[in-house]
Amino acid sequence: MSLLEVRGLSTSFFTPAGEIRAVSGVSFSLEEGETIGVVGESGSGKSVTAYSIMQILTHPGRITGGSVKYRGEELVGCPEKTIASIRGNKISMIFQDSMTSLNPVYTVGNQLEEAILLHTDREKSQARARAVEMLRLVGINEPDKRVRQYPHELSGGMRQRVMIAMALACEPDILIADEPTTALDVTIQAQILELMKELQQRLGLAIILITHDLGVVAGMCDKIVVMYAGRIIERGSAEDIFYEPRHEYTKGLLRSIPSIENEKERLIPITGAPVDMLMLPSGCAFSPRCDQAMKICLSELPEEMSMGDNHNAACWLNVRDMAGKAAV
Amino acid sequence: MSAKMAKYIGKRLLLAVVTVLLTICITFTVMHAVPSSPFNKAKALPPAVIIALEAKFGLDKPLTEQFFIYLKNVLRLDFGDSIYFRGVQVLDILKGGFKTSATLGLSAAALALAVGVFLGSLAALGREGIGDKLIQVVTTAMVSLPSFVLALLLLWTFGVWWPILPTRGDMPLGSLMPIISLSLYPMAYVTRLTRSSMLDVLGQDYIRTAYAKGLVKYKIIFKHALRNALTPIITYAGPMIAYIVCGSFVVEQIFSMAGLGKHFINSIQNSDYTMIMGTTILLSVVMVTLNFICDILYTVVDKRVDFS
Repeated sequence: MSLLEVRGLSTSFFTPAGEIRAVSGVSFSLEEGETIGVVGESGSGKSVTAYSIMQILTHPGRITGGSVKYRGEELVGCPEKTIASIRGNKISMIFQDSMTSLNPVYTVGNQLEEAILLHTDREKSQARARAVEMLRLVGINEPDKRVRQYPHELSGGMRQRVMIAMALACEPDILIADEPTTALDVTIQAQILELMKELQQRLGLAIILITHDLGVVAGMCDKIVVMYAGRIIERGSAEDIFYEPRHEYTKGLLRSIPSIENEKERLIPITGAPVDMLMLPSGCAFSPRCDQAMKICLSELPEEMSMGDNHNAACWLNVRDMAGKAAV
Repeated sequence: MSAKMAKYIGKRLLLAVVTVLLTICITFTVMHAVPSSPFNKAKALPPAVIIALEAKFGLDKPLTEQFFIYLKNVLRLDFGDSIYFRGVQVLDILKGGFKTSATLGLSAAALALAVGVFLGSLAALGREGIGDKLIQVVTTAMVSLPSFVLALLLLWTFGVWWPILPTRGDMPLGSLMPIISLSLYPMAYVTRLTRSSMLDVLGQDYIRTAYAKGLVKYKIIFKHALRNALTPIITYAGPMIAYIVCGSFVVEQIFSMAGLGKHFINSIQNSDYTMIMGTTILLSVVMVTLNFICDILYTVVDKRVDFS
């Protein structure tokens, strides 16, 4: 039994303009202590997938189908009480913007203690001690002083450390990190990622790392999932994704990363605009931007196909190549 | 921090005094610029009588001199005698009426704020639901209904049609209907204000964080959202309370209560100079005091608000 098993998860936003299928049929599993990276551009559904797992979707978003199992226990459609007892306790989450993700009118300590008091039997004073201990664990200096400070009195990096401390205070099994380093300076980014890695080893955490930065996932993840227009279009190990991408979108993403060796080489952007989620093409959602698109790509949705050990991609080109090989 | 706060409070107090002085100055000037006199109302008085009366109230002196005499008296808390109510001190009239009006007003304001904030939060919580729609329709009606219509409606309903409440304000439980009539407008306004402010706050990232922590909805609403949503409500509540504690002409008339409300209107009609000044000063003092309290409250509610 996997720690977390997501099957066919679909989430839509019911807006006045129509239904936006932000996530359709997403499946993956997470094992204990493992790190899975979810990459994709803005609007690809990676954050909504995370919110759906936590069931913290805001109006007018709703899970429309699929299943999320935590240690075999179904979370989709479970009572609010059940999911609330898992949130922040078994599955925790940190967010992109640590400035706006902490409540400005309460002290850091107050916000840290809240989760501890909620999910554990600790008394108020013990919760305060635990809060200080957590701040020390995430490498914040003078934690006794920091607990009495307000979020605006801390730096961006420190606030993200507070977010991590808050998420880990109840010793969860899973940490979902939604673009945890996007809003930070590059040097601070590295520190935060290092901290997450270190804490993962120390606490045996499983991490779902959501990012649009392939550089971030490269060093951290056992598995990588690439999302486009609400679907997983390729998945595999870091080696598979980086060295043998089998989807044109993944290839495009890799071409748009600057590399140190070829600094004179111009970066190749993916042409076209992100897909209009209100009017998804009937075929592959990437086909309008894909320079290799074939007739079938425009009309029929490609299924995920195995490209080798735990390496899947949903692209008709692979079918063509395989058919070609078979013919030869 | 505390030195900074003391400086902030000092500055605010100074500003409050200046505001009241300016109000006195403007009202005094405008009042005398209006071509009417307190003495030729009911019947024409002989010129000799008018001259004698003007001398008695010091109205024969040049205006600037009158102003400084008045200011000096006010600083000694002497607001003079009412010109209309012979031989009665303005301060005594104000004291008597203010007690009634303030009790009524504070009760009404408290009711309006408590119910308004609660209903507004509920509406925001069940956004676009049936409860929210209902609250929106009712509050729109309340905001557009004049208080005299409302007061009469209440009076007729609970005083005549189903007589369960006394119709006079000075009877036991008699202040219930006036309090309700006074509070419905601000209550509706606070409800709408809370709803929109709350909806804004509920879309913030830290609310998502609170959900992700596993907190339940009511705790998120009343702990994390409400405190952040309070600022516009405080801004509205300051002047609202100031007006409401200084009395309402209509409601006090309808429920036969001896409040302050009527003096604001009557003093001007009677050109009762000393009463006009007295009521204006009272309102401006109450107003600056409440604004001062609001300024302090902002910094208590949200520590990001700087003392500067």
